[in-house]
Amino acid sequence: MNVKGNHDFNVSREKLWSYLMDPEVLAKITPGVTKLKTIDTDTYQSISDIKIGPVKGSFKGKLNVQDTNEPASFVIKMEQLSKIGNAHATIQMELADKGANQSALSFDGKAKLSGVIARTGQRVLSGVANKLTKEVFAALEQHIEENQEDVADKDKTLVEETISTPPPVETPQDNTNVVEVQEIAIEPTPIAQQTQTPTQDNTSMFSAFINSIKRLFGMN
Amino acid sequence: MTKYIGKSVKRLEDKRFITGQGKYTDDIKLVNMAHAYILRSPYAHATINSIDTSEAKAMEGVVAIYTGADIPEAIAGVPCGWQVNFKNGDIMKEPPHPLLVRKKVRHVGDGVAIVIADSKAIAKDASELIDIDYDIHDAVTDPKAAAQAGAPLVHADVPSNTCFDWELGNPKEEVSAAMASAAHVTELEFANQRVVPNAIEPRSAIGHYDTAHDRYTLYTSTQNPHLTRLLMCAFVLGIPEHKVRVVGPDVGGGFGSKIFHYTEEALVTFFSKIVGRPIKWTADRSEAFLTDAHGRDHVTHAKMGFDADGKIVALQAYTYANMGAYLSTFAPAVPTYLHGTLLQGLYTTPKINVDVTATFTHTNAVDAYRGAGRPEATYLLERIIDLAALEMDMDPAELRLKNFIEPFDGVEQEGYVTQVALQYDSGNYAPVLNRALEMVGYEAFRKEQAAQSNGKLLGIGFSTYIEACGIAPSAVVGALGARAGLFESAQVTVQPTGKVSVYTGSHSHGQGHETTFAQVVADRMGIAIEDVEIIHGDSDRVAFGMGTYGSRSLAVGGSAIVKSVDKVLEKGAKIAAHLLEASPDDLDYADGKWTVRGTDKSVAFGDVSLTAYVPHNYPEGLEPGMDFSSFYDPTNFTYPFGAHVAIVEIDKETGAVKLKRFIAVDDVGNVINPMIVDGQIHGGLAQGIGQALHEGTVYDESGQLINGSYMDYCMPRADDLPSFEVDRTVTPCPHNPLGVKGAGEAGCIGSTPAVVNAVIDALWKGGFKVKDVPMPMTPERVWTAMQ
Repeated sequence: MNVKGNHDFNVSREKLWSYLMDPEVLAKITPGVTKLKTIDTDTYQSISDIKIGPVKGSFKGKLNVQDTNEPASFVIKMEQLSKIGNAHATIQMELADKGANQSALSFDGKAKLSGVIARTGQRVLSGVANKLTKEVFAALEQHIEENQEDVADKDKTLVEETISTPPPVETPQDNTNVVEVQEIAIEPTPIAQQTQTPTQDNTSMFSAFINSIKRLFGMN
Repeated sequence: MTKYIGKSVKRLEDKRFITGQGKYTDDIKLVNMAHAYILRSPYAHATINSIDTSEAKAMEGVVAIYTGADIPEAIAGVPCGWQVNFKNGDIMKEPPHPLLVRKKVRHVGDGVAIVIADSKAIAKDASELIDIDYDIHDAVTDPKAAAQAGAPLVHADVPSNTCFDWELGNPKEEVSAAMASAAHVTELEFANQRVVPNAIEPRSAIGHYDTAHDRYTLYTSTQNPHLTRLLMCAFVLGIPEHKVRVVGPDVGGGFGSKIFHYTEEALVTFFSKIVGRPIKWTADRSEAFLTDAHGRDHVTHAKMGFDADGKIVALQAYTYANMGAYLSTFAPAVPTYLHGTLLQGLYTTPKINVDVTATFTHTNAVDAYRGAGRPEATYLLERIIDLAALEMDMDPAELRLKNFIEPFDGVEQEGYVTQVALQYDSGNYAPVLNRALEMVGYEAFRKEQAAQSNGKLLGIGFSTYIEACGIAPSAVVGALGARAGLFESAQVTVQPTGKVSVYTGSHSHGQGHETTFAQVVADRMGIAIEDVEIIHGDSDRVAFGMGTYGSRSLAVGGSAIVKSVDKVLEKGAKIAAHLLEASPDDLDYADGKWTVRGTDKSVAFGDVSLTAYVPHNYPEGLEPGMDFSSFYDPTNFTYPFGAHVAIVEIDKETGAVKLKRFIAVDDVGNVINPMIVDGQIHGGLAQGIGQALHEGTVYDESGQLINGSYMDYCMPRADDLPSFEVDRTVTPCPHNPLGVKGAGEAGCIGSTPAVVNAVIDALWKGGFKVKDVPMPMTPERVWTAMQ
């Protein structure tokens, strides 16, 4: 799966660079990440909860920043392992200087998926990736806003739209239409002890995707 | 005297299926039974650096966890049952297919560990605690790409990933010379895509070691319990066969995928002794997608030459066939002796050469799937001849009729000897096509097609196929590389009361044998169908059997039953003659009684059978009892044939294809139960149409199966299909006692090219002269072809 995109920010390239190199900021802006631990210079360990349609899992992963060329570019190498499948990604990040307090971030890379997530719903995953990307940019913008005084109004609006009013939380109503892999979720309860209670969606950022799956299967 | 044969007797087995009382492997519950879950590789190609099972083993309810390292070196893996040699005479490359991998995984779904626990849920949970460190490598999934220089190797000792190369027919120079003389040559490159068999019942196996008797029982969803027993005992585990019982209870569909001996069967059998408990393993749907042997996956380049009159002068075909990562039981036979040998089709083509390269890839194994090789051959021939008609601006039906082999009945006229190693038994090909044209209303259709002006494109596609069924004469297949005989056995036990138990080595998993075979026996013995019971699927009850595949059950298994029935009647006549104080030669047998010819003196079958078991007044020197076993080894394959016609309508705006009509005229020889034959044809048509329009297995470049669920893999549904219009002609098989040819695969063999040809015809008539739209012909692909 190819991942590609770019976005402009109201912040200097140097500042943007420093945010992206700060594990705390990264943890804050990356969807689903619940923990980000520095294990080594430029290498972080992350735990994130992801729910993609009927597939839900807790990903344990390594994130490595390499080929750093401050403040212009770096490469993120990511390995995310979970019981619903694994993701290996290499993404080239480019930071462009666009004048005073203006910069642009672009990225281009490839993600390889394996396991259940690879064979169940992969054809719609690029939509999920786009959605995730938007979330990252919006969260980064919010972070910039919180750390700067001179934020343009239009960006405030964008941030409010995407972040302040999260889409409604989805609760699967019809268990019969949920594929078996849902039960693979390792957290919080092993399936041996799991009851038939529908799983609460704890992230919400995939609601667009979930809605499309529901439309696809007439689950509404 | 046919009270039952030729009648649509309702299926005797349906009562238990319809009322939910069928008993499948997963329904079987044994005392103290443990459950297994197989942890499978998420990668297509990777080296295992380490496996840590300690945390998983500590989980409550876990009985044991084993990896490849726990399997004795002597158990190399599951064997391949068919050997094909390289062109230079070398034996094909046959790398071991281990029960669990030791070092390297070679496809997504390769078994890495077996977790045995008190419940399947616990086993699954525990498997998630197994920590495996993999080094991931590049993968290759395409059969042609795999043979190219620089492709990642699936097995280090198999250069160019080539399992074998193989050639059949006339020498290439002769074919080239004939091709050079052709007035027109049609050339076509295409893929016959990979499909998942999708039996409704996922595979399941229970291994049970009985310490009291030092004996194993394996319950498994198989099409051939005895073959599984032979392969597992003699070639995998080294357990004497008399110490193993294999039961294939009710089985919910196979389509070939349950012929093969799978690793899981050997695993549960082997470990049941070690853990001291019965072990059940049942695949979930996702595992079925990953590990049931897939079908097709050929990449082909073919050329057909015609003279100025449209007579075929030559055919040259090159095919790359995907074997997957390991050789499944009959995999090498499919692209060779079940494919190359069928390229004569129904035509008089004088020069044919077929050249096949079989390659290993980082994908699941590919083996026989409904039709097995014959759909690939039919697709090749029928696509290219339809395309040739379009290119030469000739009528596709006429072009076929011009090239058909003349009728021959195999009795008065000899069987037709092909350029590709077969001798057809009997055939009369024009009537099936003419009947189909009549049913279509061909002339009227062509007018309607020409007048079409509503933004839709109408198309008609033909497919006239032949298949080799009734598999197979043992000596012939032995010479072609089979490591088994392909006869069938039957035992007919007449009970003292005159009721009849028939033990057949065929196995029914949807074909309705319990009804069809009972019809044959009841009619031949002149007794009521209720008095006949068909028993199958248990190696302890049925002495031997080769199982059900290749449309062989009635032609081979049915013939074995007839042999045993005839032995019963022969002995019965001796007893009856004694009771009637007449000579056996003076007796007639009809309606369940022997009558002295020209008199009203008779004795009923039940009196004779009782006498056989209570032999007080009995012929001197005759053994008591009425129980006969027979083995039937056919003298030839059987060759059903037919003509299929599809009519499609394409929406020009969206590329969506609607199948409007489907006409199938098949000749499967004599028919015992028309309803069951129609049912087999209907099911086959749905699968063949599914391949043309809906189904397709997709591996991405890293070897991930990306459509491994019913959300992602499109199956044909009832509303995708028209009401099929089916009819038959009857050309009896001259070499088996029932004159039957087999009907299980016909629908799936003939239908796929008919649908694709119809789409191509619609596109050409609409002005889009494309040679091929890859299957499945989704709206996107058809729309793209029109741009």
